[in-house]
Amino acid sequence: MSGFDRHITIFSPEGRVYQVEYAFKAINTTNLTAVAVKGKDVAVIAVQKRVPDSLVISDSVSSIYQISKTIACCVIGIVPDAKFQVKRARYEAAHFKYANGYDMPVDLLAKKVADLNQYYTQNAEMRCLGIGIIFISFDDEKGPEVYRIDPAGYYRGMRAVSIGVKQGPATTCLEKKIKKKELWDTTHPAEIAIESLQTALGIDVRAKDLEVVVVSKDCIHNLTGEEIEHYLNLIASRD
Amino acid sequence: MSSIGTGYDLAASTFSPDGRIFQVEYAQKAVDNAGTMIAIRGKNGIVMVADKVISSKLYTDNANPRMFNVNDNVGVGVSGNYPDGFSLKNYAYGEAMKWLKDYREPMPVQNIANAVAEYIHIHTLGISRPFGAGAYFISWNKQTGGRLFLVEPSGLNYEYKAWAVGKHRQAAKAEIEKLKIDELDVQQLVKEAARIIMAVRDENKDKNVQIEMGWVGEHTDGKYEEVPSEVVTAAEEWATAKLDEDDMED
Repeated sequence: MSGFDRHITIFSPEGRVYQVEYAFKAINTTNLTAVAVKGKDVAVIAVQKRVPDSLVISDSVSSIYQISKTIACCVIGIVPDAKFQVKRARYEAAHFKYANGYDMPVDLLAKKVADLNQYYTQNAEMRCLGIGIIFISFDDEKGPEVYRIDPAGYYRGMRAVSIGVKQGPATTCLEKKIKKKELWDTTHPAEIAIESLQTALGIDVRAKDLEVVVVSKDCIHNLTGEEIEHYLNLIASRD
Repeated sequence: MSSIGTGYDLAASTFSPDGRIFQVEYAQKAVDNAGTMIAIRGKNGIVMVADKVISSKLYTDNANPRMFNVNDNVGVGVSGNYPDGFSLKNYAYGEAMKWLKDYREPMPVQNIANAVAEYIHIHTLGISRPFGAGAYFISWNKQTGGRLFLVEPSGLNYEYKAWAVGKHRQAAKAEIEKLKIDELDVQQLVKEAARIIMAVRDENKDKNVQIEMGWVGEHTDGKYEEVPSEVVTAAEEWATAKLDEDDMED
């Protein structure tokens, strides 16, 4: 290879930044997918749970993290990078509350984390983090919100989004559902998220293979096994 | 997907085209090629065992230990590159001291494991080379029972019921899964662990090896200790007898 354009975060002659593109590939190394949906009163993330070995204690394996009283997130990709960024996000949210007296709104946190990601793409001393992040929150002015952040530092509020290895099929499934407006408005976002995830994975998921977090006004709740079963049964009975 | 980095493996700040960080994978190989170390959580305690190579007869007994106290209640066992592991042990010790000074109580094992995992992870970002070492953290108390954590060179940190790392980890894990570890108490665990280490050794390649063990449990009142040498010797004798018996049956 002639140049270092593939090795550090500099431009290639065609204007691409290869290291950032490779960071996106790193998100798929754990082979997990997450789907997030926002509804009228709640926002939901559903993500696959895979425990690497039967000797591992399954409570220590999770992709879902609580950032503050009002914000929850799911991070997919290189796990230690995820914990690093979550710790930073928790710090930023806590510092905002301390400095300004009110809970950090999720759009500001998303921007802050995205700007951190962008910093790594412009500086050679540290690499980008190989993770994709979805934040959900119930904002007191705007209601339920879903934000997606990628390693390049791009972030957007979404009505529904998927990240991970099967994000393509999951997104297609979500796009089909959102066209049926009446069904979208009356179905619980958890059901939509779980069903899209199941369709994208192409297998029948069981409650123990999923983690689902639901954020509503003043409450962040991790669904129990029975509650996930309930949605899985609703989906199965419709088919 | 090739498994040699060629060109993308020079620094931890570089991703390969498939999104892998080869420097971190190579650091993991430093642990995978070193002596086997296992840790098992039983009914009322946890046992950690390392298979050490004694490179010279001139060393005093247990000259280069692999297991240490982080604080009175938590033990650490380092695998892989020895100086890197020693450095991790010192970091864990420093963090535990800071916690004790700030909170006036001993640092719990999960917090120690998380702090060390973060420290290891920072070294995977490209500022310096990754650590070629991993560490088991073990502790036991009446309220939570035994807890066992493993931190790997990538910064990954999970809690385990039992695990094995190093040269013969696959064979060791298979042996562990044959046992019903939740029913074994610490005295039996020590014997079984010695047996597993001796069983997975390669007679031709593993010469001058010695077993080092550490434990914590109800019988030590939650304090991590080195296993007394008489107990280790007795365990080895039991293990040798058991292995000979099994060989005769084959």
